[in-house]
Formats: sequence, C-alpha cells, structure tokens
Amino acid sequence: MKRDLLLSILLHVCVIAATFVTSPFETSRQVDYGETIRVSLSAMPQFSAPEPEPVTPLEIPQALEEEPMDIPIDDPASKPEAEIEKSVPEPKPEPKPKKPYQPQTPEGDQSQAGAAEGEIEASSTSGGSPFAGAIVDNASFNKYPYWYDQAFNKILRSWNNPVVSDGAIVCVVYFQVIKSGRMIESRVEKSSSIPAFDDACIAALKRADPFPPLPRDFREEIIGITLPFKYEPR
Amino acid sequence: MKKYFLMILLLLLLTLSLQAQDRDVRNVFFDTLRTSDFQPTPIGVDDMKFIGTSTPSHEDSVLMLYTTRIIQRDLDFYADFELVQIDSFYLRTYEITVLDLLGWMRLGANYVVKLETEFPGRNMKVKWRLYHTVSSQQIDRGEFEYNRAFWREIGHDIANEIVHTLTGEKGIFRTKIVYMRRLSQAKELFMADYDGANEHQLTENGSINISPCFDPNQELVYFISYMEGDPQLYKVEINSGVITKVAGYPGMVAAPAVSPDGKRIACVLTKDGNSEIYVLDTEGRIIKRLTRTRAIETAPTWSPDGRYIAFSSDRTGAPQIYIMDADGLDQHRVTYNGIWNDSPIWSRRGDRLTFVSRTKYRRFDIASADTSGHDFRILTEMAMNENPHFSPDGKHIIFSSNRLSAGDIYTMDISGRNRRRITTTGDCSNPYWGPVK
Repeated sequence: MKRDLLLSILLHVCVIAATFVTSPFETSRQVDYGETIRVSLSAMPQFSAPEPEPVTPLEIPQALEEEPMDIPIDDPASKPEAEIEKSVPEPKPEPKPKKPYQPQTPEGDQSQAGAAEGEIEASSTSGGSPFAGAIVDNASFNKYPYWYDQAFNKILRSWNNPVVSDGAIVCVVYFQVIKSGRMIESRVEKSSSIPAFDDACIAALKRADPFPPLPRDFREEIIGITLPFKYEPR
Repeated sequence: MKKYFLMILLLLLLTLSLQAQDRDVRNVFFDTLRTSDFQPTPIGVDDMKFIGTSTPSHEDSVLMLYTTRIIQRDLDFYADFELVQIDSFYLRTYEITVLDLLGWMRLGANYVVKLETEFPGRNMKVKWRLYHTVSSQQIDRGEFEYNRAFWREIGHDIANEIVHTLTGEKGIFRTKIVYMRRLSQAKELFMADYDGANEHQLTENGSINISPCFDPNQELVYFISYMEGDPQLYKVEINSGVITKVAGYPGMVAAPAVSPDGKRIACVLTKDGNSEIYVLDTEGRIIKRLTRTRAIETAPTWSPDGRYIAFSSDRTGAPQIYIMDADGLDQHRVTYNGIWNDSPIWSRRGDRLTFVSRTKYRRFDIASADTSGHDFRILTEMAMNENPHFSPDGKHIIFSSNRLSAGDIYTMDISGRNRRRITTTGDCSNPYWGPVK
C-alpha cells in the first residue's frame, strides 16, 4: 500500500515536472515565414488585343450510314406500309372493366379460388393493404366484399403504429362483430412479441368500433375475423 | 497486476458479446406514426328518377333536383367519403347515355346511390338503393315519405342511412348548430341545420347572449346572457323558446360546458374576485370549486367519459391548456407549443384536444394536439380563427373566422381539409354543434 502510494506520488511529480520543463519551449516556438519580400504595386502595361482570326467552319464528317441491325425491333415505322395502315386508325380501346366479383360459395372449388376456407377475397385485402391474409370464420360472408373494404378502411384509419423496426412485425388479432356492427370481442391471437405493437392493434379495433352493420340478408348473427396487422420497413 | 489484466479481459468480452447481441436482436424503437395512406371512399349519387304514372310538374322536378343535391352535398361533406362527379367529357367520349354500375366504376366510384321518387298527394316519396360497383351488388335500400315541404329532411335522412350502412356510425346530417350573431347593439342566439339551412332565432331579448351549448338530449341550450346586467347562466327550451335563469352569482358566470351525462355544468364564476372553475348542477347550485389560484382559469371542457376537464389558465404567464380530474385534482399543463393556447375542446374519441393557438404571426389559429400535448398541429392558416367545437361524430370541427367577412361560421374535417362556409351574413361567432338525436 505504502509502496503504491509512493509510486503514485512519484509519477504525479514526474508529470508536473515534465509539464513545467516543456512549457518554455512552447512559447519560443515561432513560425518560420522565410524571406520577407517587399512588393510595390504598379499599373499593368496596355496590351493591344490581337485581330481575331477568320473563323473557318468546322468540317463535320458525314455520318456513316448505319447498317441495319440483326436484332428484331417491334417498331411500327419499320413495318411494311400495309401493316401501319391497319394500326393507325384503330380507336383507343376502352379501359378494361374490372372483373366483376363472383360470389364464392362454401361448396365452391377452393383450390380454384386459391384460398383457404374462409380466407377473405383477395380484392378486399390486397393492393397494399396491411391486412392481406385475413380469415373469416364463416366463409359464406365472403359474398359481401364491400363489408371488408369498409371495415378494414376504418381499422386502417384508426391504427396508430407506435413501432418502427428494421424488421417485419406481424401481430394476428381475432375479433367478433354482431349484426349491428358492434364488436363484442377482440384479442391477440399471435403476438408480435412487442407489447406496444400488440396493444396498438387492439386499440385500432376498439377505435374502429362500430363497424358497418352486417348485411340484412346475411343470416348469421355474428362473424369472427382473424386479422394480421403487418408492419414492413420501407 | 493479474487482477487488472483479468478485469480488462472481462470488459472486452462483455463489449464483444453485447455487439453480437445487437446484431441478433431486431433494432426496435418507439415512435408515434400515423397511417397516412387512408383514402376517403369514392361514392357517386345518380340523378333522381321519377317513377310516377304522369310526368312530374316543374315544381316536382326542382324538388327532385334539390333533394339529390342535398344527398350529394351531405356525402361529400362527410370526412370518410369523397363524392364522385359525373365527368361529362368521359360520357361524351364513350357515348354513354345511361350511367350503369360499370360506368360509375370507371368514373372511380366504389359505391353508387340510385334514387327514385314519386309524389303521392302532398307527399314526396323517395326510394334509395346503395350499390357496390365492384361486385355489382345491392348493399342496402330504403324509402322515406314526408310532406314535400320536408324535402331537405328526406335528403338528410337518406344520407344518414348511407353513412350508417357503410360505416356503422350515426350520420350527422340532421344535427343542429347554434351560434351567436350581432344584430346592431345586441348579440342574439340562432339555430340552424348543420349546413346552415333552416336558420331561426333562439333569443330575442335585445341583450348580449353568448357561449351557447346544447344539453346531450338536444332539448335545451345553455348560454350566458347580460339581460339582467351581469352575465349569468340561462337556458332556453328549443321547442317552446322559454328562457329560464339557471345560475346567478356575484360577479359573472362564463364559459358553461355541460357534462356528457347532462347532469353537471362546468363554468367560470368570479364571485370570489378571481376567475375560477366550478361545477354546478343543472339547477345552478355549486357542487364543487375545482381551481384555486391567483391566475385566470377559464374555458372548461369535459372529456367524453366525463372523468376529466381541460381548461385554460394563465398561471405561467400566458394562457395554456391544462387537464385536471373532474374533481379538480391532478392539474397538469398540456401545451408547450405556442405562446398562447386557449378555448380547448375535447375530441369525441377523447384522444385529442383542439384549441385556439396564437401563432408567431400574431394570428389566432385552430390547433390540435393529443392529450399529452404531443403531435401539435395547426389546422388553419389564414385570418383569425376561434371558438372551435367538434361535430357529434368527432370527424369535423366548427369554428368562427373572419377570413372572408367580419365573422362567419365555418366547418372543416379534423385534418383541416374540406372547409365550408356555413353562414354568410357576417358578425357570427360562438358556434356549438349539437348532438345526434
């Protein structure tokens, strides 16, 4: 202990001494600017501008005639005259109408639809919707795609995502809606492992409540929807 | 010496392991993001068709046109919808004479309202059908039959039904607004439909009547009047027009706000020499004094659940927004943006406050923030804008502004868009939007 103390004091003394010893050299340090040169300013002599030389036009070499390339190009100008006449007067085609919705019956060919039983029609959940892949308990409810459009729009508007992540986050929730459009149950089916994100999903459902009333000709009193909330980093 | 080496080695290992963990765990941090890619639902309203046996008279044709316009204006006003206009260029180009569902879909409408009418006797009967254009599916239908004089009500009721079918919420198109208008030296209260139509005068006492607010049942309007000298609290029955004094205290009574259950009234009393917030019952008796400072406390507003009251106070110098429990406890400041924030109103969802904020340009603007004071947004950007109040569905704000006159009533979405001028006479202020019946 005593030895360590002495060693520490000795080191401190050395540092302080070194500081004092080197300080005089610091002040004497001067910048060497080299030889001083005195300069006197005087007017510049007048120069007469030289006569401009006659400009001779540049000789542009003739472009070499391009040889037709072997690559076939789908250019109407390169087509024979008869073909062009055909294509010019053709009226602008009307915009293609969207394929009308075909009600999907529970007995229908599921493999043809490419969706699992109860999976909500793609047109209602795709197109950048964060709710793609939603599943409804009662598959016959898929006859009413407007309901999903409206309900998911409300949820989307009510959703305040509290999380930013560099990886994708998914929380799957389940909720039930009765005939009047009131939500009677909501729960996290599969957690995202981020409590704030899960809470935000449930809060969005509660804020979106009430949902549009179930269609009059839909006989069931209640529907249950499994809805994935997805966050993907941009 | 060995100890030091061991410690340094341990520190190095710990740092390396933490770095390795960082690479494995997703980098998650918390922020408040609002989904901005919400688009209002495009909806079209087809022209009304006559289905009677004879041809409609000129008067009937005008009624049909006006009723259709009412439905179109209502749906266009609603924040969740966007009215699709009939594009005449498109119709001419494709020689379309009848707009079917496919045509509406090409115009961009997701939904179409089809209307048919007939005129049995002195009545007007309108049948409506709502279609989903994408699935060519009829979603809902209904009919209304009123006396012809109530053609506006038919239009509003149809629009309300459409809103309910598509959103599950009650439409606001049959709601009333009440506001103050200056008539020479007097300031009288007026009531009108939400769109400014059917205006009628509520008070005619030649005095100053200000700060109106509805009770939740839409049967009474509470207001402050100078009819007996000092400003005191009164109420007027909407149907009969009978005015009754509710509370009279020394000094003045100001800024009444009825609680969501309609059983309590928060207001400002100066009976002790300073402006303080009290809670009264509907008979005007004091239930509790909520504030007790030397500053000026005013403009109380209830949270939708009736558990909290927001108010403005200049206890720190300039007016700022504060929140307290309904019993006056836990008072804390909310706004720190802006040097002057006043007249708070609680949103129907309860998650935001809207208030008047004086900006750096010395202008009064309508601003909004969440109840913790974050996410501060200015919603208006010209002239003086004051007295904000929410619509019953919480999607619109009514306010007064002198942008085009000496003061008129305007409405806008809560995002600040879709502004409409409701009154055009000038000298109007203090608007309050009544509840849905």
